Amino acid sequence: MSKKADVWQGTLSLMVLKTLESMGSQHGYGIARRIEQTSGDRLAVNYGTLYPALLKLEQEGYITSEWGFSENNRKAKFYQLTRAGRKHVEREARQWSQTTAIMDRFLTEGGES
Amino acid sequence: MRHIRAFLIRLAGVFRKRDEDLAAEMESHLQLHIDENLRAGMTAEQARREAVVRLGGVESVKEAYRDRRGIPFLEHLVQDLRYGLRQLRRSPGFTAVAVLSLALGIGANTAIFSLIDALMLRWLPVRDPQELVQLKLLTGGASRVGDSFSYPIIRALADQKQIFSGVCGFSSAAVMVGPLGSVTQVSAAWVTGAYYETLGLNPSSGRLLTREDDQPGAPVVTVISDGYWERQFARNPGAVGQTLLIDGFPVMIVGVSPPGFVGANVGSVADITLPLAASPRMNPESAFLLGPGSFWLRVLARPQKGISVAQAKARLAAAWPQLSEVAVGAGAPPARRKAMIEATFELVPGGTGYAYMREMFRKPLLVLMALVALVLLIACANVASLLLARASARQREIAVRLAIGAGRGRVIRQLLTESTLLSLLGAALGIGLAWLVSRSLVNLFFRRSVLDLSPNWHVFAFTCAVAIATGILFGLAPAFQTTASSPSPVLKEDARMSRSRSRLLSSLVSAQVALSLLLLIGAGLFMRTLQNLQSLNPGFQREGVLLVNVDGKSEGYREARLTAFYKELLDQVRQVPGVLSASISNNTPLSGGTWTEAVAPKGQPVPENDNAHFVAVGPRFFETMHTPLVSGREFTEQDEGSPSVAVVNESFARRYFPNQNPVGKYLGDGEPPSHGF
Repeated sequence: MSKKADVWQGTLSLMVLKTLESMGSQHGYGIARRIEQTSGDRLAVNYGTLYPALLKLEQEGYITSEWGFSENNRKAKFYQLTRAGRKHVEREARQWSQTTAIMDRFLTEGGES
Repeated sequence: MRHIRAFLIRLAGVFRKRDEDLAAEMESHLQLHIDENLRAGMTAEQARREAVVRLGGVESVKEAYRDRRGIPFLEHLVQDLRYGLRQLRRSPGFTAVAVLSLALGIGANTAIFSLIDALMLRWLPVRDPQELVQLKLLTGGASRVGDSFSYPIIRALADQKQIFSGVCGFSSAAVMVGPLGSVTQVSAAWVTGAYYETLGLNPSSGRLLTREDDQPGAPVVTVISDGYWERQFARNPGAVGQTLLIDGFPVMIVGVSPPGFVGANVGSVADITLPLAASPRMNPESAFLLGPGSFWLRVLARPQKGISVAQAKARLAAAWPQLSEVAVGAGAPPARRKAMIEATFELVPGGTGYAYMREMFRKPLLVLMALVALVLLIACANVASLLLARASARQREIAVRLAIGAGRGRVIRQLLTESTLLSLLGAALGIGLAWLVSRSLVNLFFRRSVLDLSPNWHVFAFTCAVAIATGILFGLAPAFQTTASSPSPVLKEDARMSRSRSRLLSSLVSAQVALSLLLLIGAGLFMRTLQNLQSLNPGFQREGVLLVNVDGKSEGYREARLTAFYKELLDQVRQVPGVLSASISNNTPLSGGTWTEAVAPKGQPVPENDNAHFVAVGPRFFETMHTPLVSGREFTEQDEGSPSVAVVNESFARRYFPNQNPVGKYLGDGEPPSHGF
């Protein structure tokens, strides 16, 4: 089995929000699987930390939840992005790409000298 | 905003448990995972196993979820409090003893602190009280410090606009209000015109006194306190404009001072405030009070913005030589004039007002505070040893909790919560106790409540701080002791009290005994002093003497009619069956009141700054008081009128008539021959 990277602290929320933005309403397991698939199975989501993270986002008002049924008729709690959540994703994503761009420059420059 | 919202939801989560919700979500997570694994071709057994393993420890997820849902710190606190309360309910005897001894300790501290707060710490309810300074007059090369100033000095200081934005003088008094036959005594204050302006107050109704009211020809007006307005006028706005008969003189009410303000003289409530200039108009005899020789007014001043206290003091020193000329008055003897010109000023913080009681009671109160702190320490030691004894009974419980994985810190926290709970319960009871005690203390000293002792946040905060500190103080040692030993031996066999614990217990007991002994000795000495004072010979027979306070002046009697009134009153009293003798005096023994005047035997120079105490009495005074005369005779009815006579005491005789019989000698200008002592 190949070694998978854990999800870094703080990035999980953004991944969750981004996933909900593209998929609409989704349950916890679905969100976790989707994150793993998007990373090309290079990331392993710790399911234990997922639920507290979802609770935090809900408390902050970025997502809402309600009980529903999955496609194969399992009872599950579905999460959905709120309007505040949508704005938050935008802002966070922009900041994140700025940060990575800067980091990228540092790393490449450091490599050259 | 997001954080506040999340915090509030979490706060609500502390009290609303929804564990089933998470359990259902985990269950659905597992099912979804198993379904997918089955679709991927695993066996049912494999699918379930893989899903469970990937999810990880359900309990740790639940814990992380719970921590996020509520606020762990608060949640543990609530948990500890609930558990603590249950524990205390289970042993009501222990709880009662601990809470009672703490209530006594904390209550005593709160009582004394509320006195200190009322007397020394509380700001006057005025604008920016921290800016106010109280002026003190230093004379005789700073050897004598006085709080009192004369009216002319205050008026001169009030003109020093480059130093002070306001200077005011005031003094407490009592006035008689009402028509003849139904007067009541009301506490009052005489103030200079800038009083309210300097303090920066706004009226509840009408207007406050101004500088114009403190001019010689101004109409005589008064401002009443909010409390007096409520008691006498039921807050009727029509009170302003009404006329009060004060000391028999009609005075118009022009306004009501703001609620909470009862004068700048802490300890004496002023319900009626009068401008000083009104004094000679209401009673021409009192005109001398406004003269340069009467030092009887306290002074509060507000330095100009941007001028420090040190700067104000320096400027005052520079301006004083010129001012003193005005202030001293033309008729003053040269020695006095010189003393005044050389006088200097001291400026002390005045935001807490003036209180003669502060000077009087500062030391006794601080001593009392130290005493009650000792009492609290004893209570702490007491409760700590109780807790230790209880800890040995609870050792198994605690060992079990340690053994199944509770951290030592967590257990100590639980135990400290319990002890703080105890001390808070004690504090709650103590506050009630303190309220009663401080009230009765004040009544004991002053016979009536003159200080505002209603509970306020100062006292409340003090008590809470004391309670929490106490809880930690007496809870810490037992908590550490109880959790120190490793759980296994305790669990294996019945717990024996370890040696270190008994050492702690015995040192607690010795501390308790030592402190108690200290207090006991102090109390014993105090009791002894009190006994001595009670058995002290006051110079008259205390048994069988009755005292009546009569003020004929307030009933409108003056001059000759007043004398006649007193004489007739005495005659009537003497005719009451059972009365052996009766007399009259302007001050009664031990009341502390006398008047003082410099005096010397005829022909000797009158000493300066060395006054004798005087009391004016009527015929048969010594007979009535059962005071034996060493020599000479008692006053009789024949002594009224001339020649003037006096009775001197033994100290006076020893000093001025050494080895002579003072009877028949003359005092002063030769007028009164002395008659016995």
